[in-house]
Amino acid sequence: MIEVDTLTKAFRRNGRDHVVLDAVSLRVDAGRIAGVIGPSGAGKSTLARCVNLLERPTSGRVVVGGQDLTALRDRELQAARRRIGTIFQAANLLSSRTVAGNVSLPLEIAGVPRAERRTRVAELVARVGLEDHARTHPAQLSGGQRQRVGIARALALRPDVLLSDEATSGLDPDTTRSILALLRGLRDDLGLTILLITHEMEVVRDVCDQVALLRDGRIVEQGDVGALVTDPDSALGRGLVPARPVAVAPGGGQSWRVTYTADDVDPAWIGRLEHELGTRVALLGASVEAVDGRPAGHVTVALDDPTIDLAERLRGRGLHAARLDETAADAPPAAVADLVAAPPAAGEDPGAVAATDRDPTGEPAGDPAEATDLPAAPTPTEERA
Amino acid sequence: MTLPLADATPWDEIWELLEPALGQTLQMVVISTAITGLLGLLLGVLLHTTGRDGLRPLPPVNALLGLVVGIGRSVPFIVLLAAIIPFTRLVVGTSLGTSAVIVPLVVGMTPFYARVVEQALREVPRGLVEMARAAGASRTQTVRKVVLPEAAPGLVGGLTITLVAIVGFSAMAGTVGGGGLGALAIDYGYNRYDGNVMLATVVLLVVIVQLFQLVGDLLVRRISHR
Ligand SMILES: Nc1ncnc2c1ncn2[C@@H]1O[C@H](COP(=O)(O)OP(=O)(O)OP(=O)(O)O)[C@@H](O)[C@H]1O
Ligand SMILES: [Mg+2]
Repeated sequence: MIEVDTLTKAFRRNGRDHVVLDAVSLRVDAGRIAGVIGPSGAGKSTLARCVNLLERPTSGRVVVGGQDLTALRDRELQAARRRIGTIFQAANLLSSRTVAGNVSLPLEIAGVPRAERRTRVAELVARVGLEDHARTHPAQLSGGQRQRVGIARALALRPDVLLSDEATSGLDPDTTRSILALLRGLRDDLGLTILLITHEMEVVRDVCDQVALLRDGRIVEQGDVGALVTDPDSALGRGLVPARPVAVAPGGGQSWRVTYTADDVDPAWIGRLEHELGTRVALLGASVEAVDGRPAGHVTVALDDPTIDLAERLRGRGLHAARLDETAADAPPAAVADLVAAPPAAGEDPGAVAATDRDPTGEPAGDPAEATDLPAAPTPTEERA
Repeated sequence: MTLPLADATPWDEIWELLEPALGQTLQMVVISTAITGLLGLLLGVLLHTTGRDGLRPLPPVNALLGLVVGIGRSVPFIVLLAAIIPFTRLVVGTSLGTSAVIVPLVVGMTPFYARVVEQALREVPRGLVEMARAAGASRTQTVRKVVLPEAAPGLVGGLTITLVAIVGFSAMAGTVGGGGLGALAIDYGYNRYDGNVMLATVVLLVVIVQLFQLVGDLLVRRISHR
């Protein structure tokens, strides 16, 4: 279990204190995978580094496995860190050692005898699927393979907790999926608690049980992924299943955006609706997928008769409907990029982001390079204009 | 001063002159390099770890070490050779001969190699140190298991450069009766205009330096896996 309690971290720069983490509280129960997502510079890495105390918090507590790390002295801290596995974006492998040698490092540090080390290393290298590369040096490995070595090394001392800072950034989608599947498998088999730092919504959607959105050093929104994606008011939820471009309503009909808000939505609801209304329901766009095992997402439909109140009709079926022009006025974020990569406008309270929606036509103001893996989908209004 | 022009030593007698000198040079160079390597490594590690971004920043200690190293590096070797005679006598009991040259060679070259070591350690990616700390390594373990092995190619390459420099400085050993190839070249080649001896020692020095460089390069290539 990881518990972060009103953690504050300030760096002194040019004689001024810069608050990088501001009263961050976070709790990850044993066996859960928690994502921390946020734009570049939000303080995600600093948070990860505070959890294993590579960075000493200015105030607040970090409790891992019931032990308050902030209260430990050097030597005790070294012992405590051996129960936390850490995976880095750059893998951080020793070029002087083979794959097996790299995996063996934490065991040597902990003073595990040679014979035991050898069997454990063989086991770990096999666990991450690198049996054929045990004697290879990291320079000869692909990015995905290097990351696997890093994971094997992080697991060497049988930690209860895994910290991962952007472990899949810079990997292609297939490799990312395989690494995430590996992490999920490890959680399932070993009951690991995992804190996953990322800037990719797909990573959160694919593997996390819970997620926190960090922005300017503060947690703006957090909750269980399953609950967030079915909450039409959640910016984070909308970011997890972003709106896709939709077709134009044929013949001037009324477009509706329907959001899944429960996990027991009747999969045949459109057919049923047509039957009840005795009119056809045009399907303009849909992005519905399984998140945490249940359907979540949005469907855009059009009805010829503008007087029908779809919101009223669908209430009680786990579906939330809103007229599309209404939705546009009270627009959801254009895309994940807008939610994650854009810094709040000057004077705007970041805490308000979760509740109020952002200007749909606003370009994501983040670093364009950051935003490339978060393609901005045009909003329905843009599409129809 | 006019010396009678000696005839150049005939080629078939030159080896008799060269052999003992070569032995003295190798002795001076190898022993000095070994001691310089150890002391320089220690000093370099201290410089690095007490530095601003080091594992244990200690600004006053670092400044002091930096000063000592700086002084050591700015005194010309020929001056050092004379200046530390009392110290040399204290350490090896004499201020003359081959072993007396080893002391100034070590004193003169250790600061140089210490800086080379510091530079090599600085090039080890910070992420690796961070990784070791995150894995629960102590500072000593971090240096022994991560920093030094990763810097090994730079350390060996730097030691080769140091050794070659020591070959050069050992030639000045003649001034304190240290013997060796340098002394031979000056004695015969310069003072007695013996061109054959001069040529032979120069060629031999070139060969020695090339050999050491070759071995050093091979070693670096072997231990480098980047
Ligand atoms: N050692 C440090 N000294 C001073 N400032 C720091 C230090 N480490 C981080 N910062 C500052 O803290 C802020 C957050 O940095 P951090 O690396 O945690 O962001 P991040 O969310 O991980 O960003 P990214 O997505 O780009 O990795 C940045 O403004 C950074 O400049
Ligand atoms: Mg980061």
